[in-house]
Amino acid sequence: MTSASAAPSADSLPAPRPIKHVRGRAGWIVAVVFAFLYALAAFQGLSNFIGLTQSFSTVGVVMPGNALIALIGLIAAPILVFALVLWGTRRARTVSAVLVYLVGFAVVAVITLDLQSLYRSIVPFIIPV
Amino acid sequence: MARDPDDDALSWGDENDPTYVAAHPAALDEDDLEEDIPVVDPFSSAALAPPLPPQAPAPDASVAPASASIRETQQAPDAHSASPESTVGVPERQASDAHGASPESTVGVPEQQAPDAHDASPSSTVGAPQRGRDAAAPAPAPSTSAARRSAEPANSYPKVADRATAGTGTGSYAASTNASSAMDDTDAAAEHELADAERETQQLGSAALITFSIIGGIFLLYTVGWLVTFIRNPVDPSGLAGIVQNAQGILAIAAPALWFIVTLLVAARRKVSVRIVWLAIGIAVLLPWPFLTGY
Repeated sequence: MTSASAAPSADSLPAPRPIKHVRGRAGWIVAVVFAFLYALAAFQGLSNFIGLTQSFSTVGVVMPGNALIALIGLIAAPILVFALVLWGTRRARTVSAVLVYLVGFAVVAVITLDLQSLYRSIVPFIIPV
Repeated sequence: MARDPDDDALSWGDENDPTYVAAHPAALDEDDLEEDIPVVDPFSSAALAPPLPPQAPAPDASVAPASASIRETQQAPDAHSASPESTVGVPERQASDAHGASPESTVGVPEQQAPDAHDASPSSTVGAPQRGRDAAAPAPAPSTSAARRSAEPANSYPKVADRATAGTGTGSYAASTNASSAMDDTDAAAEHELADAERETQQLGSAALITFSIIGGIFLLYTVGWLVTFIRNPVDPSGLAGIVQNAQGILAIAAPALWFIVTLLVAARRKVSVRIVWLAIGIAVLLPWPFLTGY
């Protein structure tokens, strides 16, 4: 028997497993760039929350609970969506991650407009500052 | 096949033959050493084996009549072993391999035990002009073994490798086995790539196509809803807040289309049900609530 007998046959060879992609340098750069955009949306929600609570406190009116939840949602929505996208694209390619981040930012815009309309339905007036 | 006793092809095969090679007794066949076989492939595995001594004309026509009569019962054409190394140069025996080494073909012929399709001896690389004619002819005697081998699957690389390891111990066998293993790896990778490609290019069923169309129509309605909302609530674009507000309105208009396209692109390799679930999530998330409530 030759040394060729020690060579494994095709049946004993394991099937090649698909390579799992990890987030590379380009992926992290994309994540940081979109993090600034998402942070901008969160900052906008934060500014709305601070301004409106100050307006209500100025006139001595307690803000309704639903309106307060809507304002908090304006802050939390970009953070939550960014966290979900960051987790969901951990093994995605960079191009796919860019697309998902873009869709996530559009979803943030949709949620923001939804919550703003909800707030306007709760507080259908503008408090003059 | 009736053989003429004066056939010069039958006069080879013993120690008196100047072309007799004792190092490969199992692989040599007298019929391989015909004169009209000029081509030897230098890139074949046979290049690793000792070179064949120059051929000489047949000295004696009555040397091996007994072995010739036995070999006449070994004619078993095998379409699966039609590789150049394995079949060329076996004019009468017709590439009898380890599977073809049936008892009736090996008993009484010790120098022909387990003739290998991947045998790299010089005789195995020498071509024979009557090879094609004999390959097309039906197998007369060992019809059972030929039928058994014809029922085997076409891709029998592991069996070929096993046959190579079960043969005589020469270095060329190791080389051929390594080449066979590499070929197996290549085939496995190619099969995986082919499966992925087939999965990607798999045609959608009618139900999936109709479902995607309905969901696409819903997303189109969502786009119209967000567009109406954007037109209904004009925002002064002066200042950072106005710019951001306009940008959000435009993104909201594009959101349904983006979700639909990106879902189909990113989840293209996944199941249709997974894509439909993600599209349904989009339907729930991207609902144009301001359009529905009027605010």
